[in-house]
Amino acid sequence: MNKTQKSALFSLINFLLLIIFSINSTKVIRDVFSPEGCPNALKIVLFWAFLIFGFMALSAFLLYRRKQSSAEVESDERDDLIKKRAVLICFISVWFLLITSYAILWHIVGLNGSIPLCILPLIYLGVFFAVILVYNVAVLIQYGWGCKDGEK
Amino acid sequence: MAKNEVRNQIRRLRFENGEMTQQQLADKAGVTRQTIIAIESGKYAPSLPLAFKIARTFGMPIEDVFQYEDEDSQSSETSLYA
Repeated sequence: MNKTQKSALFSLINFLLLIIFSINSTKVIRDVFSPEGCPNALKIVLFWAFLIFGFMALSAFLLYRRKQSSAEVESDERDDLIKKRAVLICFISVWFLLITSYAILWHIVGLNGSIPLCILPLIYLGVFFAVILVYNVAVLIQYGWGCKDGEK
Repeated sequence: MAKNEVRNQIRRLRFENGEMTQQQLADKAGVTRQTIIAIESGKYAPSLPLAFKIARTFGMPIEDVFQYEDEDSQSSETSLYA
């Protein structure tokens, strides 16, 4: 795996961990404000914090390892092409997701209906997260998940 | 639609040049090992400057390392020799 591929894989894993953490944390917050409370709240949050920051530290260590030789390059024309294509896919995804979400909203509330103002920033935030996911997946798919390495 | 393909002799040439590893060739051509793997397996067609760099690494003309093949040229060659 080269640096671009590793970077995409690590950000994808970190992103998925953050999503699971967010889902978990909403549950913890709900429990904290419930009459029974949540005695394990601190433990749960600390576990996730260590997991996420630990993985981030491991990613940084693996990404910025010392080169095997001084002539070894970190990225080349193929990596640039893969990144360029991934950005193009992201651009298409942004338009697709925005138009789809607006069409769904229009379908739900109708032509003369109204939506709360907070929905729009939430849509943009959702699209932003989706685009990060799409970018990393697009990069990994183009590299063939790194399983097609030949013999050395 | 005609199928275009760039074939190459990199694998054979690496072994003929003192069993050069993919990493050594990548370092000489200024690319990553993954790119050499992709070129060797025919999954990636290199740019012209990169093709020249690889050919120069082996000290050979570019057409001895890379060959362009498409269905049209193959069928015309077949009809010529028929």
